[in-house]
Amino acid sequence: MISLPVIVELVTMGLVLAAIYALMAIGITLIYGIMKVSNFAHGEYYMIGAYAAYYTVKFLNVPTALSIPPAIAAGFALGYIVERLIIRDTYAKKIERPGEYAMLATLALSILLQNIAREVFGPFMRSTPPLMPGRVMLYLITLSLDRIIALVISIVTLVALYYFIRRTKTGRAWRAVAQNKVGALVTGINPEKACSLSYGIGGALAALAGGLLAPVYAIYPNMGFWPLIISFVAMTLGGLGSIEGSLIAAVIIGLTHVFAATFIGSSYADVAMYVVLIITVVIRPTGLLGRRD
Amino acid sequence: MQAIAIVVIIVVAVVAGVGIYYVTRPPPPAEPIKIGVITPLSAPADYISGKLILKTAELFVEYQNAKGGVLGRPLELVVGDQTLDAGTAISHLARMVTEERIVGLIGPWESMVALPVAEATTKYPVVMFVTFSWADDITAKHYKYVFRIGVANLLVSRGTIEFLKWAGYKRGAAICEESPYGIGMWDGMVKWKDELYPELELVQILTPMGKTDYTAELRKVAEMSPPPDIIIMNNNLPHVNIMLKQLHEMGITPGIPMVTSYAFPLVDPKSFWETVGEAGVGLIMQDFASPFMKYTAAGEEFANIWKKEVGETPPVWICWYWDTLRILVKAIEDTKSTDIDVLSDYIEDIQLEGTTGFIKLENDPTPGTILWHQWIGFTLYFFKAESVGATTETQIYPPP
Repeated sequence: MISLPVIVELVTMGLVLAAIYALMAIGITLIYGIMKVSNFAHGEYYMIGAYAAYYTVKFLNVPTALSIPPAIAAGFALGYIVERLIIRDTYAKKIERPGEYAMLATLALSILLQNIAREVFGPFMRSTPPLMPGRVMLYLITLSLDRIIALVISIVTLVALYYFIRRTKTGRAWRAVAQNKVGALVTGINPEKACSLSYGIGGALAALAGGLLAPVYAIYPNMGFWPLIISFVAMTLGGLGSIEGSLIAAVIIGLTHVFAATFIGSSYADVAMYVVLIITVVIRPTGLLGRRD
Repeated sequence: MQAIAIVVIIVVAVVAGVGIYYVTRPPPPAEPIKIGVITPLSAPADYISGKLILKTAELFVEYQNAKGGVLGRPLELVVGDQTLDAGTAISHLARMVTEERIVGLIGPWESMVALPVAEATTKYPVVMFVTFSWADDITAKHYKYVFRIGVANLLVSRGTIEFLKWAGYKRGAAICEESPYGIGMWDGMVKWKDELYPELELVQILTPMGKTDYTAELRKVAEMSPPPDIIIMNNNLPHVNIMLKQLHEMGITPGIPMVTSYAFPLVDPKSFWETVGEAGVGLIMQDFASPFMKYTAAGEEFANIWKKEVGETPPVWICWYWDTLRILVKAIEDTKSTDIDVLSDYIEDIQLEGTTGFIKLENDPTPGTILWHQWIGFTLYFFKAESVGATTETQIYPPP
């Protein structure tokens, strides 16, 4: 019989993991939601954010908290440039298979950025100092303050993004572009500008996650691999492009990981995550909150 | 008549010219003896080590060719990037054996690639050396042409259990990555625990490779009752560093001491301390080199070559790679042959002063034993990181 304290401990741990997973997945969900583009380079925006934070701290000798804005800026700049140079062709030109093109182009970009990072930053691990040193006891589990900060910022970011997309003029323009680019153009919206901005912000969100989690994990050239996997699973499980869906999916993944690792075995934690994904997609092909186009 | 004389003179001149050319022309260059190197040169494989391995082979070829090559023939390298894909590595092997006609091979680095390539030497025969591919099966399968001048899981895990017994630890949480290395270390520890230290309790905690957050897995250490008095980590970079950090974050360490089955964290001490900080203090690490270890004359010579080129002391496993090439060259010179079977038979009984000690191979024909084409002359040292930033750790076992 499993005791209540153990259940509470596991749920707490799963929710903390979920917040971090959600933070990793927000950017990719936003990009897919607006542009219908699978961004396989998402992990590298995360990596660029972490390195930007690291070098800001190293060269400017500032507290880690002040390295987050440059990380966001680096992610935004990279996203904006990539959209202009690579992704724009998917909708500005008559490419026969734009989805496949974007997938392969971002996959190639991912490999390229990893290799550039390896040559420029070196292969070894780096880390930024803690945002806030110290740990707290949360019920039965001990958490670093950095993890708590990441958790809080993750929730605030999700709420802010939701509000931005639903309530602001720019957000409404993005939704219009997502539904029908030609229709949006007729109403005076510039789809190219909307796409560049949303792609840039998607990159900025990934970089924010990278910068925030740099002190929690570590920085190395292929650090984006795991966040990419989690992001894709969360996005698919939640429903492609649904921010609320990816949040719920992150919670499911976090809890699945913790409970599977505890009661089935560590080796099966990832397997359990994929089983949940497959079952969900079989029952509901659009994911939890996804809609048919 | 005059025309005939002119023709005769021309013919004689041409014949003489051709004759002089053939007599005085430089001899054709000797055909090179080719050595294959299949090593990781790109991510996600451990290309950092792979580049050092390739550098060693290049330095050796330069060194040997400066001495006149082997049997008057120059050495030449044929290089293949193993990646992390056994299929790619085997295709390199096939090409090197069938087209390049290599005589010897520095085999892949990661066991998950080295093992299938070792198996493939039965189809594409060539003398293959490994050093730091730890999987027991590489020698336990008794391949005719495969030799290990280095360590195996079973040998290292014996050292771990001996240390745990010496230090008096009674209950260990063994964190093992899901790889031939991690699982092999676990199997070895269980075997030696039963033989050498049956009082020891070991609990296995498996960790998938490639993750970033291991808190769900590491929670199992925290929930052990009674708690472990030692955590044994059988994980490679970068995961070992990430786990150290998360164990500390979860409050499990520094209360419980930790030992890693290899000093991976010190591959680059600067980045290790920058990444883990306080979480690394107290960490016990196993290594095959010690500040108290002495090089042989051959080792001194190689260390000087390496320092001149790279600017630092060579890692001990790099010394072993140098040894494998010396073994191959000695075999070719002594047998005056490049025949694979002749070389293999010779190497089985090789006796050579290596860079770190005398090299003689174990050749126990008992099926399944790892002591086949296996060198066992290395020593396992245990160090403790006493403070943040420490680079020369305190050797605790064997007591210096």
